[in-house]
Amino acid sequence: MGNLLMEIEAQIAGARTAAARQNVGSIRELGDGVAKIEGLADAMLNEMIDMGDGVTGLVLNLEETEVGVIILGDYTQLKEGDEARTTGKLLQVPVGKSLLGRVVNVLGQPLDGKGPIKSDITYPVEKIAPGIMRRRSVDQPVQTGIMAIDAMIPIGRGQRELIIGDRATGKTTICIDTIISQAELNQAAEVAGDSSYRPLYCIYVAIGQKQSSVARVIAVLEEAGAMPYTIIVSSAASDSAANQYLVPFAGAAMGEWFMDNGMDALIVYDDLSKHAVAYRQVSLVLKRPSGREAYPGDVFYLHSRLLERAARVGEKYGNGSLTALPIIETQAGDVSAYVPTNVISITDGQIYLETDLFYQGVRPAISVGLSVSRVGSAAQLKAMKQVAGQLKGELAQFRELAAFAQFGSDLDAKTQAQIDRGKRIMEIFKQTQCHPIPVEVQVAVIWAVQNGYVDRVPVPRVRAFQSTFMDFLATRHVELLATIKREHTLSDALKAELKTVADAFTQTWT
Amino acid sequence: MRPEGILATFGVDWSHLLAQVISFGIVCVILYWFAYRPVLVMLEARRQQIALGLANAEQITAELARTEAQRQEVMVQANAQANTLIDQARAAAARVREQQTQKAIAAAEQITISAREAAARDHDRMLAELKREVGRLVVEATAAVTGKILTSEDQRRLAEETARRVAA
Amino acid sequence: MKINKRAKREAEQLFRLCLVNRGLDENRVRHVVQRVVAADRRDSPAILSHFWRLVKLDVARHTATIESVTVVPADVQAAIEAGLMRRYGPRVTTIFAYRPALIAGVRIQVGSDVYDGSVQARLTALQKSF
Repeated sequence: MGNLLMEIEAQIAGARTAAARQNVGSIRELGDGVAKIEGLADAMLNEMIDMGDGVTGLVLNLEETEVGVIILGDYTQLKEGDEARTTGKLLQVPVGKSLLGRVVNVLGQPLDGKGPIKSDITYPVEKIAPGIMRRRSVDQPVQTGIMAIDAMIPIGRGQRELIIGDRATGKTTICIDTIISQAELNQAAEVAGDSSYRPLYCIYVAIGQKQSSVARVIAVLEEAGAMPYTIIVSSAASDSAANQYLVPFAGAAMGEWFMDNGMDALIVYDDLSKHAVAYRQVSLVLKRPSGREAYPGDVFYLHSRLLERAARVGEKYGNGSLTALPIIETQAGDVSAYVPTNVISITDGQIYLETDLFYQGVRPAISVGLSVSRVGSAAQLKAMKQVAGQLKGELAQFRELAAFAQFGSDLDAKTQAQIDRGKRIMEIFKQTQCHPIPVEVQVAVIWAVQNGYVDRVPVPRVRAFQSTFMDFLATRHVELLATIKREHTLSDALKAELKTVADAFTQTWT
Repeated sequence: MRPEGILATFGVDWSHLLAQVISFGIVCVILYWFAYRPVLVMLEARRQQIALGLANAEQITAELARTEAQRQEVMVQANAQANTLIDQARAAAARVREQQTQKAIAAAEQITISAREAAARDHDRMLAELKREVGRLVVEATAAVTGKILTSEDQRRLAEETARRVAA
Repeated sequence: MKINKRAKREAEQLFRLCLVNRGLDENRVRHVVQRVVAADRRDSPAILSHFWRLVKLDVARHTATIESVTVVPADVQAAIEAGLMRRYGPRVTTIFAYRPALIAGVRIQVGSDVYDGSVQARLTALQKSF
């Protein structure tokens, strides 16, 4: 109580100084979350405007006689003639570790009812991406825990990897699994006291998603114990288009704090198609000229400046990284539409999810032929490279031969073997959601496949074989897995030990 | 007596004797050839068979002993393997139990921490509200009173201050 | 009223014609208004409406409204006017108004610039800081 009185007295004492010169204007026109304000002669682009009653606006249009401002907040309380004043500040959000485990909106205000965010540092929402000299090449892996991705389409820290597919193909699930996998790795490193492991913090940006979907994501992450390493920035479908337009930039600002302070972060933009739609709405209300599909002319710049902020910076410039996983939803598998082609050309690769594969039971429904990672094996553990190097080629051959197999024609032994092996590899890559697999277990399983231990197992039983084998490794050969994880490469001794273990398992498995 | 007389007394006739000896000889030869030899051969075969049987029996006993020894060895090995399996299972169970205990402890700690944080949050919220109310009262009181107590000198001073700000 | 682009352009042209030495000439403004009314074209109301807006904004930019509770002493008035003229040029006109809500002190608004030294403003700022 004594503190409280002192605080009040200090504030009263501080009020004695008179206010400096202010710049004001009055609202001339108001509608659709956009206000046209007369006056405000000193307003700058992207400056924050105080509309009164705690409502903030952002200057987007500077015209001769008036200023176009988008309202971030409840614009139903404003009316024509209200006074608005400049704040002299760019739009900023609070950043720092105090945001981890919280759900916030575009201004950094908490939405989870767990009290105010205590953060002294703010970062501007719009910032120029790191330049060429500040960057470093990507060579650290992001272990997503999804075998298909870690083996054939590896993602590195600092890379942008687009996840593209139709609705309900599992795009968000891949990102959630990645977040859960990172949380498990972070926890394991904390428990083991491993200081050489760099934890990867995750930011999930929900743009225009249903509130029920966001709630489900939060529930899944909480159950998996991933919330202490995650920030959720949400602008749901019921939020104004201005909020939905700005929320990915706010998330990127939070990620940049980690990047500038020697830590690694992963940001998921779910999804950028809705972001483009929100920006289209804002631009049309601001009467900016529209182009193809009614998108404004700078929709490419919108996504390129957002995604370029994800990078790996050099030691002198922060020594951190920000990995981006943007999600794009296509309509009827059309990747040649306007926004998907834009984002494909910006990112360092894409993971393409197909509805056909999904309904055939291949989940995650990753199309290995069309998916690519331009960073590739530079971001893979050496052990994984050793076992998985051939996989992509083998699967490509299998896909070509699979057409022959359907006709049931007589095939020579070699072709039949390839087809059989391909079918088994496809089975191995099926995975249940929310169950990421650690990389050392992945290496062991793929090694077993490549050395023919699965060839004698009938195809419908391959998954049972795989899960029993993984249990066997996890319960009875923990040291082997730990050795693989520690050494990062498969030496001959390790291969011999793997052979013994696999032989022992195959003998007892029925 | 004369030899021929002895022979004649016993009824032995040289020609008959010779003929009989020859007949006997032929019979012997025939018997030997057709009866004695096959019988001997058969006996020999049977003897060999018995010998073989005996030898086999020895071998069988030996092998039986060897198999018995092997069986014992396999049993011992199987026992040892079973023991190892049981140990590994026990170790795995201990690990799982340890993990579950840690999880339970962490969950319990989490509950305590959340409760404490919730209490702290409520406290902070009440203090903030109190501060706001006090501030509001102060401002209202000042607004009500100031106009009445300020002299014209004070008004002049305030106007000069603003004039200075404009000029600066 | 929907003011189309052509009407806006014409109004802006007319406005520029009324500017003399970077100042608005009242006679020219009156003349322009009379001529447009007399011409009585279809888009005359639109042109006039936008023209009126431009003139209003220009006038607002060069008018200083000084609000106070008591009468401002003459020397302080002179000081304020001198300061305004130095900052905004000689075209500034000053209007003195009475506003009791300020409680004490003076509030000066020129266009979109506001110099608020009143007690009310300080109290509002104090309350917001809580």
